[in-house]
Amino acid sequence: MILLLTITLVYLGLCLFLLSMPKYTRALGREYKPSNHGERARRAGGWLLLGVSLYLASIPLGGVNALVFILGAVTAAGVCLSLGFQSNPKRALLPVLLIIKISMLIAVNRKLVLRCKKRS
Amino acid sequence: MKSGFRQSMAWLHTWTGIVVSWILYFMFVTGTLGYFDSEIDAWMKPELPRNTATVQTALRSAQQHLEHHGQDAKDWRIYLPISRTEPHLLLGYQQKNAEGQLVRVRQQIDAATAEVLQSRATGGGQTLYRMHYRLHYIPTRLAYYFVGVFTLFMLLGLLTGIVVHKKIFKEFFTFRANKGASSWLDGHNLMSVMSLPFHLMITYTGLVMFTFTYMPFVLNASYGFGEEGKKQFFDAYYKNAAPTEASGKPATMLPLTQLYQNASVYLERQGNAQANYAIRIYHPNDVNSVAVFSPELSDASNDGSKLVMSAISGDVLSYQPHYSGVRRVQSVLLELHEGIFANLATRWLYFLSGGMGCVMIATGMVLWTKKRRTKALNNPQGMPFSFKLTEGLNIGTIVGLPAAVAVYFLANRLLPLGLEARAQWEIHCFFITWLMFLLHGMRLTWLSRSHKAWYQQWLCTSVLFLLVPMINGITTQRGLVASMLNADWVYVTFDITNLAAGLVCLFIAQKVKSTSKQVLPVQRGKLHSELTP
Repeated sequence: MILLLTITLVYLGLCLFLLSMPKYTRALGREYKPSNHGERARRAGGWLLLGVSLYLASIPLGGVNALVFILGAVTAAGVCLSLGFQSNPKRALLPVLLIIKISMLIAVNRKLVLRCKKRS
Repeated sequence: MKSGFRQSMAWLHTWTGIVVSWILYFMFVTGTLGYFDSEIDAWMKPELPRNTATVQTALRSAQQHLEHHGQDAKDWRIYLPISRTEPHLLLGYQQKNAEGQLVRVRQQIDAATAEVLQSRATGGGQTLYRMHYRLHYIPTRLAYYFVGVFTLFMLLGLLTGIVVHKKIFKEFFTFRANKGASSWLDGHNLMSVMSLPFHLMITYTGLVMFTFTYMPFVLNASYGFGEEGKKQFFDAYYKNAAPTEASGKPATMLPLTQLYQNASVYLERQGNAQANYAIRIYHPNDVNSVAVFSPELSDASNDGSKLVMSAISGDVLSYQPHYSGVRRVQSVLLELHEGIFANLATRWLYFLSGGMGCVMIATGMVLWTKKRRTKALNNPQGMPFSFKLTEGLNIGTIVGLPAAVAVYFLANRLLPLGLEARAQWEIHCFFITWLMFLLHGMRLTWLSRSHKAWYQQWLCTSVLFLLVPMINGITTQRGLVASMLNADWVYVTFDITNLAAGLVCLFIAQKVKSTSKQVLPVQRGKLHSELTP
């Protein structure tokens, strides 16, 4: 189960790497085009997820085996993502796009709340 | 050669790649299957029951058999049925033959009843695995050198490929479908880049594996030339020799169960929780009798763990947690290549990476012809010989090898059990199939009907793979449904994998059929004019 979670995290990490490249976000629409700051944040998020998945994999497998496992997982997830992105970009990135949408909504809400507070 | 560094590298990548691609593809296909060699072995011996005995029962059975048959042996080797590589108790010892000479014997034993297990003669997964570095039908030593040269070319291809592929990170996820040669290039790049660490590792460690074959002079400098010197070196390097000399004085050994128990307790105290799967007893029933225990491999860096005990008193004589120094570095590299330490999930990832290596080579081969097709079609003297030859070899190898693997499995079930040299005939079937596919590919390519060749061969391969589980169900009691009911997951996975392979081949065949309808009118006209005398 933990290895399945690891592969999912690797996939999400790769999705973030993909979303940090304007070459690919063009297929999704203008709203997903990353700013310089966003580009860096998404890349950092990708590395963070890969790091977390390495840590998670090392719990049942041990450090050395986990490293081998993660390299394999990156290969498998990367091919799935590339092929999926080619056939349907939004569906391939659905989990990450949802997270981005939700975080965007939260950010907008926060701004609104802050504005309301200031007015009152 | 072209002017400019990158152009030269591209030239080198293209030409060295295509020249060795067919054998490299063979090495990758058989090597990838080698990651499940033990599972293939188990499938190819359907007579063998699943082991249900405990370690203690297995040890008692081993002792009973060895006391009876191995009295004259210099050493006993016991491989317990606890690891994936040994599904049954395996014993090795020496026995006197009719002329009174000691000959080595290996027996698979039913761990519960101590009876010798009988199964059909088969090459199994081991033959497929060995073929990836020993090839077949040529002397082993020569094969090692061939494989070494091909592996060097592979390494060269990888390095030049990295230089040629300018935008590795920028185009990391790029794959454009239905774009002709660009799609093949994208596919080739995707398969290469995604599993680049695996490809570099597998190629480099493959060369390290035969260090002493490819660079024998270091060995010769200290141990001299000839087989005797080589044997001395390997005995010293791998510590194959017995830790003690036989005294010639008889003594009674402790029971194997007790020795195993003592070893397990000692190893646990040393922080090694792995179970012992291999036991070697040197000079059995002698005063100097010793037992050497080898725990299972838990990761790539702890190979060489060894506990030496006196088999008479049970005292620990020495303990080595793993190899040290250069030997450890080499062992880590070899373990990474073979993946023996890998659990099931990691093993599947190894298999997947190997499969991607096959696709990488295959897409490279197709890309070569794809890029030259228009020029070849427009050649006033007709298609050049080199183009036809390459395309014919490509078709016959890319599709022919998977088909040969399917036929190898089918031969295991269909060849008569009493057939002489049955295991050899399984392999002959493999190569005959490959040859047939090559000839078929060549013939249709010469008639400028390569699309037809691709389609027919993929369709045929699909049928062959789909037949494997069916024939298994008809000829044995361990068909897919029966295996599911018995929770025999090795058999279930094997059959399902074959079904999946069949469906993938069918999908490719359909894809080839649909793309052949979209051939450009100019090409179609050219093809038509070539076909009409």
